[in-house]
Amino acid sequence: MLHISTRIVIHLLSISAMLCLGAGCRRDDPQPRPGQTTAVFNPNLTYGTMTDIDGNEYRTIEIGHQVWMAENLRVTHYRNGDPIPHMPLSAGQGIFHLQTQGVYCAYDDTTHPDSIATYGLLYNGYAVVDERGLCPDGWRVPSDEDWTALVSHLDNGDNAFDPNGTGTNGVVGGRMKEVGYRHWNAPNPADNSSGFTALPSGNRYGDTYYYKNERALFWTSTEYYVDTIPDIKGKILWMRGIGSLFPSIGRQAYPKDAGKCVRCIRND
Amino acid sequence: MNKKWNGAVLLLCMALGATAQDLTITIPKTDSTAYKCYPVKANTVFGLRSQIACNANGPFSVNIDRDMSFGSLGSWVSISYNNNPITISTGETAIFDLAVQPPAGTTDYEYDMPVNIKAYKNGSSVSGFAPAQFVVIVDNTPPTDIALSKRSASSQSVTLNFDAFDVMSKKYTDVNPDVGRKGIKQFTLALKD
Repeated sequence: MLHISTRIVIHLLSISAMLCLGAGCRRDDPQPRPGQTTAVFNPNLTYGTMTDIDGNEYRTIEIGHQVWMAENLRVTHYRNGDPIPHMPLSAGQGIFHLQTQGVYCAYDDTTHPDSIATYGLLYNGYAVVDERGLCPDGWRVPSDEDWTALVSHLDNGDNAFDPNGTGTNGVVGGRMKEVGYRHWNAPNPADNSSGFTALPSGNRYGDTYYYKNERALFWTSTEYYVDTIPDIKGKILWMRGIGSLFPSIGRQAYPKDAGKCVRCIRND
Repeated sequence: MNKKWNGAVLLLCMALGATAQDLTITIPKTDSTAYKCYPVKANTVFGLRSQIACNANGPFSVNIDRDMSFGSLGSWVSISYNNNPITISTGETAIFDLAVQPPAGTTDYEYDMPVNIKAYKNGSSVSGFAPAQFVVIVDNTPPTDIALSKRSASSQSVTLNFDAFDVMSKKYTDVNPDVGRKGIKQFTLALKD
């Protein structure tokens, strides 16, 4: 009996914590995060800048006909000023996985300003598609088509696409990754000729953080759906990934309840 | 609406007597490799065991939530016993063996594989259990660094040292000693005039 009562109390506390997080217990005003990125950008290219609603400034880079953020997003408010709930591991076991609203976290729950400025924050897929907008005015979360256009441009005629039609490309990832081993594990075949400067910020799935220094995993805003599996509707997004082992960039689908990083693309 | 839905899910789980900690899924083969499988070539099959443990409040009927697992690469994976649900009580573990086969031509890359649990208690679906993940490394590239040197020679024979490796070799051998020295399972030397 005591066991059951204890569990009920725990559940009620979990619900309270979740509602509190969802509503935003602190209605803090948007403000920039302190910290400086330690990313190594391509010194031969010219970068622009953009600013999110919190006041954080990011480098941008023109690639082909597109303009992309050259750093990972670290905003904590939607474009309309609503706070995005923060969901560290301390929010409770299994809580992150249960979310059907947008939330964010930092890898390993770090609060280190330079680490967050470098790697950005991890957002679940519900934040990515939230109508209040994750990216600043004039920018959007790139669609699968935006990424396909980017990869096709950077393929530059090498035709290194996976012959099975998955969209994975065997050379373009190396053209998008930061060079060296300051953040990436070896061997990291990369030249960052595009200036995109992908960093291995890892991801979160359930109650585990995975693959920092090994994987850069970016959400797209495009839903993955298969007619024969209606149960997955609204639950999975396409993403792009770059790893430390190969110069490839992958295209896969992943459940929205994971935490991954975001680059915004300018509306044109 | 979303917050209400979250609360409703938790309340339903409470009513059914289930918590997030009741079921855990692990893939032991990747424990020592930070959730990665050892590198494979395209069009080869390898096995991976996933275990769903019931830690409390059993029994549950469980299997792999195939629709929400493996992302767009579900066709690579077959699950033992057709993924039929297994009923486990508290303290018991259900085993699902996965056979993974990247198709011929698959590009070298680290492919992410999320793994989710599907569970029922008293005939009702229960959710909220933490998922797992593993990565399939497809590496079709042959060793890049090849060294051949003369060890000794006589009037009738020559003994050669041969070595071959690349940046992936250590990973191969570290995670799977069966693959051989420096991850090279087999050497073939062709002697010509």
